[in-house]
Amino acid sequence: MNEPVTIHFRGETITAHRGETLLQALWNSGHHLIDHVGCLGGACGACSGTFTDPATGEPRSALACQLMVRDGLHFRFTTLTELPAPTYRSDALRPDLAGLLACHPETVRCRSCEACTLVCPQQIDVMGAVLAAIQGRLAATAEHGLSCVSCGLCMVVCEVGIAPQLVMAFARRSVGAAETAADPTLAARPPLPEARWAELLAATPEALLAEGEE
Amino acid sequence: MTRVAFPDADLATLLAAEPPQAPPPLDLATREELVHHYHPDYQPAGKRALTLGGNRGEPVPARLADLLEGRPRIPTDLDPATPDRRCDVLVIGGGGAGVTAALTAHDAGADCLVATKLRLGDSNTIMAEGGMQAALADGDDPAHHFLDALRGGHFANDRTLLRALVEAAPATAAWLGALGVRWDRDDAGHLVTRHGGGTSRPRLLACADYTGLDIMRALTAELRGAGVPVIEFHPAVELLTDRAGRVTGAVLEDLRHGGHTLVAARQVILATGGAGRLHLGGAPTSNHYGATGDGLILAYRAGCGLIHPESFQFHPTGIAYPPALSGALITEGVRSAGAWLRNRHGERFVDELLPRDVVAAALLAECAAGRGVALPGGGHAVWLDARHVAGVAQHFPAVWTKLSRVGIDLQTTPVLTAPTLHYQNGGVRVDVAGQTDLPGLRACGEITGGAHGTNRLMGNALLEVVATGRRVGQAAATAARESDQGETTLHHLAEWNGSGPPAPVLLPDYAASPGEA
Repeated sequence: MNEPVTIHFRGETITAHRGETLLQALWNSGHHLIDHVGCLGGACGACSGTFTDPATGEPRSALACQLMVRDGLHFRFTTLTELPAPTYRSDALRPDLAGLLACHPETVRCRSCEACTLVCPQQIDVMGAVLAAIQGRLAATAEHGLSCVSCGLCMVVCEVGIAPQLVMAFARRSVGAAETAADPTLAARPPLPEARWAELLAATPEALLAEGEE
Repeated sequence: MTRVAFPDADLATLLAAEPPQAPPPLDLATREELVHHYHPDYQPAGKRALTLGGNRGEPVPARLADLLEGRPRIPTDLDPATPDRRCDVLVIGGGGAGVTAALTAHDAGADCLVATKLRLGDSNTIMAEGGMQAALADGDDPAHHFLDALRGGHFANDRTLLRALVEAAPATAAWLGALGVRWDRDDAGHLVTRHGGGTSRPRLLACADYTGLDIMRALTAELRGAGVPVIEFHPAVELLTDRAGRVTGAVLEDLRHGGHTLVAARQVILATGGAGRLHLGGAPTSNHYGATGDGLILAYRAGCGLIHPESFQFHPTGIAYPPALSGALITEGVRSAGAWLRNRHGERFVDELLPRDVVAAALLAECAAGRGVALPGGGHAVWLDARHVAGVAQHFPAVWTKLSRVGIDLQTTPVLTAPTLHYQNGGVRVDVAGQTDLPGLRACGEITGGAHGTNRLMGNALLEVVATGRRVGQAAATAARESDQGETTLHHLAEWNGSGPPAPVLLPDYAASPGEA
C-alpha cells in the first residue's frame, strides 16, 4: 500500500493512499456513490467538484475520477443534475452571432470577469470561447468546446446568467451542421445493386476471404 | 502533480532501445491459433453453462451466468396492475442508442418516455474516443465495410444485420452532422477518414478523440430540444408482460430514494448497453459506471434468446499502470496514427492494426512468453510507444489529458497497456427492426448481438448505436400505432425459478466494507 494521506470530505477525515484518485479513495474508505459517478473516463462531468489546494490554499476544480489525492485535500462534489438544456431543435443552428443570440441572447452580457475560465475542470478558456462567440467567431468557440463535459460549473459562477456550456455546444453544433450541409461527400448515395448483396449474403467465408485479398 | 513510480529499469531499457523493426507478419491460420489459445472468450476457466432459459447449456462467464439466472430484485408484494405512467414507447437507457431511438420515435409521432439509470447521456457512448465507420472515402463502399466486419468477426456475424448496419453508415454520418456533430476535417475542409484495426480502407470519422462526447452532446441537446420527457436515476429492474407473454411496460427503481415507478407502454425498447462493470473474469474495464448488463438480464428472464453471450471484446490498449487508471482506454486511434506496441526488450511483436481480438491475444501471448513488463502490483503489460507520432497532444486531447493528470506525457514517455474489458460482442437476439423474441420488446445498441460476430471492429459501435437507434425507434413508433396498451402483469416470473443473486445489480460494489481497507 502506498503512503497514507489525509483528505477531507463531507466533514469526515479520511485516510487515503497516494496513487488513488479521489473516487477510489472514497470507495476504499467505504463510501457508496450513486449521483457523482458517470463514465469514469473524464468525459461526462458527473464527478465534477471543487477542492482546496493544500499547497496554496486556493480553491480549484477537478473531475474526481481523474483527481489524484494529496495530503490535506478538501473536496466537495458540485455535480449538477437537471441542468438547463436547449429549448430549440437543430433547425435553429445558424453558425453566426444572430443565430446564437436567437437561442442564447444572454451571451452578450459577458463582463469578461474570467470566473468561468478559472473554474473549468477541463482547463478550457471558457471566457475566450464566449468572447469569440460574441465576435461571431463560432468556429473558434467550437474548438474551445471540444472537451467540454457540460458539468455546468461555469454557469454556476457566471454573474450575468450565461450558460457557457450551452454556448459552446451551440457553436460546435451549428458549425458542424453547416459543414455537413455544404459537403457533397455526405449527400445521399445510391445503394449497391441488390445482386451484389445477394452474393455477399450467400458467399462462403473462403470465397469472401479470397475477395478481400484483391 | 503526483508522479507515480514506474517500473524504471524496464523503462530505461526501452528508452535506450533502437527504433524497432517491423513486426512479424501473421497469416490467418496463426491469427486464429493465437486467438484460440490466448483470448479469454476461448478459455473454459471462469465459465459455466447456463442451466435456465433459452441459452441453456451454453457456457458464459460465471458471474454473468449467476446474474442471468438471478432472482428478481423487485419486492414480492409489488402490484403490477396499476401503472403510474403510460406512454406509446418506453425507451430504457439514456446513451447513444436510447436517445437516438427516443428522438426518432418522438419525431415519428410517438408519445415517448426515456428512463435511465444515471443521468441522461451517462453511457459508454459518451466516452467513446476513436470514431465511427462509414464508407465515404474514394475507393470505399459498403461492401468493403461489410467484408472487413465479417473478417474481423470471424464470419460469425448475422449478415442481414451487418448489411443493414453498413448500408446505413453514410446516412448516419450525415444525420449526426445535421444534428451538429462536428466531424474532423482537413485544412481544405474535406472529411478526414482514418484506418482502424481490420479496415481495408480508411473509414473512420472522428471528432479528435472526443467522438462519443460530441455525438452524445448533439443527441441529448436535440432530445431536450424536442421536449421528450426523461426520468433520470430510474433504472428498469423488471419488465412487465401480459398473460400471453407480450412485453407491456417496465418497473423502474428510484435509485436515489427507493421505491418503484410502473410504466405501461405499447412498445418497449431496451437500450441499456454493455456489461463491463461486471468485471467478468476479474478483468479491468473501460466501461462507464452503469455498464452492468441490466437489459440483457431482464430480457433473458422474460424469455428472449441471446446470441454469442460468451463473446466479449478486450481492447488491447487499456492503461495497465498506474493503478489509478487501470482499465481506462487509450484509443486505437493512437495506433492508427502510428504508435507501436513494444515488449520488454523494445521489440514490436504484432501489426498494431489487426482486429482487436488478434492484437489482444498477441499481447497476452507475448506476456505469457515472458516478454511482458512485470507490473509492481502483479500481472504483465507491454508498452504503447507514441513518442514518434507527431501531434499526439493535439490529435488525442482526451488521452493526453487523462495521462497528464497522473504525470505521464505521451509525447515523451511510453505507457504500459494491457487488455481491458471493453465491449459485449454478443447480446440479445434481434432482427433488423430490433424485434426480440418477445412481442412488444425491441432492442438496439450494445445490448444486441449478431452484427459484429464474435469480434467487433473499431468504429462499428458508435455506428451501431445510432444506426440501429434510428431504425428501431422508427419501427417502434409504427408498431405503437397498431398496438393497444396491454395488461401489466408479472406473469413471466411465474415460470422463472432463478436462484442466483438479485439481478440486475445496477452498479458495481466498489465501497469497501468496514475493516476491509
